[in-house]
Amino acid sequence: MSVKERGDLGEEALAEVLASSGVKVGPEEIGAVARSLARIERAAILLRSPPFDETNEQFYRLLEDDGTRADA
Amino acid sequence: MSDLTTLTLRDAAAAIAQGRLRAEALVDACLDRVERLQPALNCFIRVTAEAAREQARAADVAVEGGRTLGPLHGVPLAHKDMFYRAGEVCSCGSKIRADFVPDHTATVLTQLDAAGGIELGRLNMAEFAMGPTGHNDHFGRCRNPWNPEYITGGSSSGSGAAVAAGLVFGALGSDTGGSVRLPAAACGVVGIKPTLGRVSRYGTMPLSYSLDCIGVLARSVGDCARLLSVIAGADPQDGMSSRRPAPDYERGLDEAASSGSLAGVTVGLPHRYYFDGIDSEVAELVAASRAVLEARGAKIVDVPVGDHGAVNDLSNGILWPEAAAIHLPWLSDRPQDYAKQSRARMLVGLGVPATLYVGAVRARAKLLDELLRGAFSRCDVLHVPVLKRPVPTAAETDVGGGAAMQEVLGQIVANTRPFNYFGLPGLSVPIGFTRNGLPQAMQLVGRPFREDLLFRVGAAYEAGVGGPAARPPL
Repeated sequence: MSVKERGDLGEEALAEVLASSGVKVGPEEIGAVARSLARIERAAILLRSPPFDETNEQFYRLLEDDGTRADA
Repeated sequence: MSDLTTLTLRDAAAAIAQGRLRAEALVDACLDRVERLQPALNCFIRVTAEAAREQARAADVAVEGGRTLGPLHGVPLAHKDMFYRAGEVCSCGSKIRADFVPDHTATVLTQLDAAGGIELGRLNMAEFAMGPTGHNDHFGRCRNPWNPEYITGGSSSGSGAAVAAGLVFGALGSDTGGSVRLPAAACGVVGIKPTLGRVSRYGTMPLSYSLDCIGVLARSVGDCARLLSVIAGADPQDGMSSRRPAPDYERGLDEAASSGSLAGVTVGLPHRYYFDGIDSEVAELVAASRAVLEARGAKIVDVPVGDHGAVNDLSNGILWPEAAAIHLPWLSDRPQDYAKQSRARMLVGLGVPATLYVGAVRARAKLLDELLRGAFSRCDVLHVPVLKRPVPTAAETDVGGGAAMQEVLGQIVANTRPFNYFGLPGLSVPIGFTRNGLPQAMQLVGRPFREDLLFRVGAAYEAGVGGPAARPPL
């Protein structure tokens, strides 16, 4: 399922997705979850995809390397 | 000496180590204050008075024997109730862990103990560190020492309030989206969120592995610098901690207090997002604080930043899936034992697609690189408000898990959360008061591992306004 598809789910279908994790979700809770998810999904669309070879490790290396340059 | 609790942390430690002040007298003064103010403020979840007095007597015996225990010799501290100490209850501000007794001790507690600090007890916090206001359904709301009707900020609510009220000289907090900087700002004390990895997280309650930082709160920049000097550094028990040696963050702070000390320092003013929709009173205070830095020699420049509003939202795509994964068994089996707000936010985490979560994590390197090559190529520190609005009342933010939650909580963390995503250090320094009588703060943000520069700029500001912020009249 793509990001956009999940954002487009109706509340009933979203409740089923959440329930698949084993957590019971009340109908009164779904609206707020859907709105929050929509914000996150919009942000993901705004941000460009990282290069194919990019890994999480590069973020931590960048923190360390920049600090090392500052020390020099 | 009239009121021992008005000393700075550094002066108190020096007075004790030199035999001019007994640790037991200082601990008693703080405990008396705790007894008097706890009913009104609800800062503490647990007070360990006898253990503290015992430690104080040991600290005095050490002085009599010519020994100095360390840079925190005999200093009363207390910590957010999420730092594990073997054999002692650590509630994490929750009903679910109300009786949890860890079998190991957090590295940061071991470091503070070794430096001579004395723990008076455990401080109130948002349930599992999940809220930015100071509400807690299980232990009661922690109240702001400047006005109990207003929020303390969170999630390190008790840390901000207890330090501001002079109940302790410093406190540990954690910061995943602003949880050190927000209570520091709302309570009028100094708080630092260090670079991701600067401080060990071993033996601390996790919320989000990718974002959690351990920080400190104190009443002055210098006191904050001393506490961070004690706890910063590599920890073989935390594989994510940086191996970079930790500097002495107090070095250069005395020089920073001299006029013109910020010559050569460029302060960047982001040209978008952090000032969008800012309250006019807050904007005036922030501008005035910038003028103080300029008067101390700093050069002020406008700097470009990307869409940090999107970064803010994207960080939720990391935080809540990680939190939901950690809490999944309890979300399934004990849903009734969570506050509505905590549960509502973790449900969002269950709904974030795994591909989005991984994408948000992978994008960090590129987005941080853009910020370092962009804004930070033109300045040494960013200068932004911690809050865009005056500190709100408790009633205004008592939104539970309902429809208003995202909007209200989102406003509070808007200026702090992006820097958790980037992993950068942020220092909150008080800059005055809005007309409601509540404090406001500037946030200084630096390149990775430049906490030393943040402290230097913060100390220059304090010197420029005549010293650390005032304490509430309690």
